[in-house]
Amino acid sequence: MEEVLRVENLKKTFKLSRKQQQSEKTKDKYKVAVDGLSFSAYRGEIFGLLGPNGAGKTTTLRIISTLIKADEGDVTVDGESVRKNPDGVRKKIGFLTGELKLEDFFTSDYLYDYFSALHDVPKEFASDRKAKLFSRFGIEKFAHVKVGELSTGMKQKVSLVISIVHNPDFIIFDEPTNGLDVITAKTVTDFLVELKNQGKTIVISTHIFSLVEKICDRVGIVINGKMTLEGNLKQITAEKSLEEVFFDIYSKEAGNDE
Amino acid sequence: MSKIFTVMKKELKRFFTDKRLLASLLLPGIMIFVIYSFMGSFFSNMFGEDKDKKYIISQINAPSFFSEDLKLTGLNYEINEKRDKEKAKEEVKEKTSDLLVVFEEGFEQKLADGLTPSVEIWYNTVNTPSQTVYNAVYGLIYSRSVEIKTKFVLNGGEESYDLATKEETSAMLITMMLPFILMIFLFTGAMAVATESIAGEKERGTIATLLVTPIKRSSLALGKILALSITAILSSFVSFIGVIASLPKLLGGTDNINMGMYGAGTYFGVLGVIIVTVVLFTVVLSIISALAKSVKEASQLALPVMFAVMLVGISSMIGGGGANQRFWAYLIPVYNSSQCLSGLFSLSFDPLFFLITVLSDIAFIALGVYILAKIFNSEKIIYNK
Repeated sequence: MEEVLRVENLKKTFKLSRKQQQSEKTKDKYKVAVDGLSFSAYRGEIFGLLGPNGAGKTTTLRIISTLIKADEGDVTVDGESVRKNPDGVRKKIGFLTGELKLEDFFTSDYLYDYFSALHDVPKEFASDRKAKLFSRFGIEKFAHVKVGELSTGMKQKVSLVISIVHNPDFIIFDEPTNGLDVITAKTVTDFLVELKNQGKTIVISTHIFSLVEKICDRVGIVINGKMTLEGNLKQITAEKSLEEVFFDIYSKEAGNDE
Repeated sequence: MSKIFTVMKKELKRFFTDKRLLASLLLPGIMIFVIYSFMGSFFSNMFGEDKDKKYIISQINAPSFFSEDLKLTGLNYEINEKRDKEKAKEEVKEKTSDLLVVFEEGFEQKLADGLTPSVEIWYNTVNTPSQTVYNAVYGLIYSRSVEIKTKFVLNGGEESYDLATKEETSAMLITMMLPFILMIFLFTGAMAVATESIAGEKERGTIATLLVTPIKRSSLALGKILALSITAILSSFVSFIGVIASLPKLLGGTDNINMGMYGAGTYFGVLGVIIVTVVLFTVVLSIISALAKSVKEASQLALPVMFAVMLVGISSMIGGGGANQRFWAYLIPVYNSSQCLSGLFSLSFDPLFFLITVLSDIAFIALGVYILAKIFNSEKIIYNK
């Protein structure tokens, strides 16, 4: 198996503002979001980071996508380090999260071309790929409508397509089906499997067990910023369901915390 | 009734526990105090008497009471007795003398005979000391006529006793008003586009979408600044044309203002200053926008800067029609633009000062782009929602 992503001993601590201290009901000035997290993802697989809200999944994905920097540890994507060569990593990844929005003022068609240019995609290639992707997701019907006028599902489809304008081999999706209706969610998950079958490596974060069971090859359970279990989904769920496995670990971790 | 108080209490709590809202309540008062104090001291400096200045007053046929009365003004002056009125007027015009007071021949005798003799006070409005001493002496002679209950004919001729040429007066009025007005319009033009740009993208979540692409942060900063600058420059040109067109009416009649006296060189110079100033404003406002959590906060943070620009604009009036002649003054951003505009409009343009202004502004713009690129790399600022 060819390793595409290696996350090594990742640590990230955030300073809490007074407001955040109040909302989290803590007097601690710092919050450890990711605490020595390590895992790998291999070519042609979907790896699922499973964990409750606030477990550190999104922070980990942000570090992998170079949006934020780790305090300790490193991430390599296809041999490029996020610390040493973040520009190189950005060229290799496609990143999609609910917090990444498109400008309402522009059309999907314009934004596709814009992001293709930012990713240095040759014009002819970009044009062919746009036609294929727009057709695959039915975007051509509303390609010339401003993003602000599209439904949430349509916007998510456009965001998905735009995140992979450069045909990356490694794709990161943070909560890929969050807030989507069942039809759009199915379109997205089917597409992820399609990408996997094309040999792409995909890392998703989610708290939905069924999504992991449906599309992931391997899974990592993250609780309190730590990787508590990492392995092949079939092996992990050989005796118990994923939900049972998760809550067994979660109970232990909660007990340890107490 | 209790529900009214419940709603009111919640609204007041929201206002008085939010530091930013509280600051927005206090800031205008503080700024008004600063600006009005500054303006007060400026007008006092401009039109008040200068204790160190020796005013040169020329007189013809002066009666005995005049020299005694002059002492009452407390001015530091020197009196020159003149015979040739036209020559003395020329001196006032050339600013080698500040005032010429011409009493009618046999002034005292005519007063004794119950006649109304004439007094002419010649001054030069573009020479600030002349304007100051004119005000003092005019008041003095008028008071004397009231005191002896015999009216003099004071500047009663049809001619203008202001010896400044129409061109000089026009240049002075333009120099006093235009740099100030332009600075405000240039800033507000840049503010309209730049404050929204990055803070708006942060608010809408579109900035992160850009930051995961392989574009260099410096390219992103420069691309944004160039686009914003083009928009702001266009807005500035429209404002400039509007100001030029409305200036004659603003200054009370088309006779006083003649924009046609400026050559193409002056207009090109003004254009150059406008461009570098607008780009500089855009860079500063983009940095503010990047540091702010929202568009609203960016606008609030930009307010003190706008007041500072207003103060700098007001300072351009201090010269009363001239520009700062010290070279280091042209290294100070914004102030240099204001002084350069003053120099251009007062027809005392110095190419060296213009060059220093443009080069120093370009250096500040480059520094601003570097800072903005750094900000794009700062997760604390970009995720500071």
